[in-house]
Amino acid sequence: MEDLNAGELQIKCEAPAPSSLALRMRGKSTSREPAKILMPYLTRCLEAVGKNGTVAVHFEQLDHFNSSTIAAIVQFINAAQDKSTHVELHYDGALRWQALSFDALKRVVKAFEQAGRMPVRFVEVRRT
Amino acid sequence: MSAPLFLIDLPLSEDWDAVEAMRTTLLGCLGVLYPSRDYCETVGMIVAELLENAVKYGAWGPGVVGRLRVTGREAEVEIAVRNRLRDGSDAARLRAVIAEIDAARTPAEAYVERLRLAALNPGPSGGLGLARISYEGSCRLSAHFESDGWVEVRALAAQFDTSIAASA
Repeated sequence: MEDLNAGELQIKCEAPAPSSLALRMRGKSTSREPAKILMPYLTRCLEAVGKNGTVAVHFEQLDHFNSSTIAAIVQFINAAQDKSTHVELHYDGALRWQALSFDALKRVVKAFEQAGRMPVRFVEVRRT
Repeated sequence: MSAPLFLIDLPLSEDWDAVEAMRTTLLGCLGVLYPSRDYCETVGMIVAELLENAVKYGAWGPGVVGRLRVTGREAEVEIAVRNRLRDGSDAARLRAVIAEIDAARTPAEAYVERLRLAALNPGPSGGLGLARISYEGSCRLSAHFESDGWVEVRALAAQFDTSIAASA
């Protein structure tokens, strides 16, 4: 998979293992309709790893995202669960905005899991 | 109420790129006055979400100029964004979103519900930004409607840390 460069948002794509991608986000996601940029790219990532593969998205180096980006992330989780692909979300728990954003996402995902959807792994890291 | 430490009053247009420019400019100002990076980023987030709503859902055209007003005090920052509404249904929708946030048991509950709706209904995430402001900003929202079709949405963000870096 190629990297994504969309204005102030960069996503570096790594393949640490077969059927596994790590997406490292940097910069800011502030576009008017981030889903139009992110969803086609993330959908290709899901297709690349296939069923039972893993897509790990790293937000810990991201400086800022708008609420439309959060909506796109939720839609990505939904799409991954539809394709039976594992999702990991890595975030910096030392940053208040990331801790709160991902805490809310955990609550949404938990409700989906209780309805029988695939679990999502949240990984709290501390950037140095 | 204490005297303002600062007042920022800027004209607002439908220029989307100006939103991020205003957020980052404001972050620089806040960083001089308030020691908490988390607080500064939270205020920046509130500014950006309110501006994005105004640009996205406002009625813009030749000669239409909105306002961003940020008033900083020792213990709090008030953010107010004024824009013209497209029609009466926008006003009703805004009232409904704020009423829904106020009626929720907690701001987190209102935000999580908006996220759940965003997952189920891909497309414009109406109300998610306001719910985020209430949840992450721990602040109360209000909308002040004017008879000529303008609205000012205000958010009051209290400081997490009570000390300030600069002596006013």
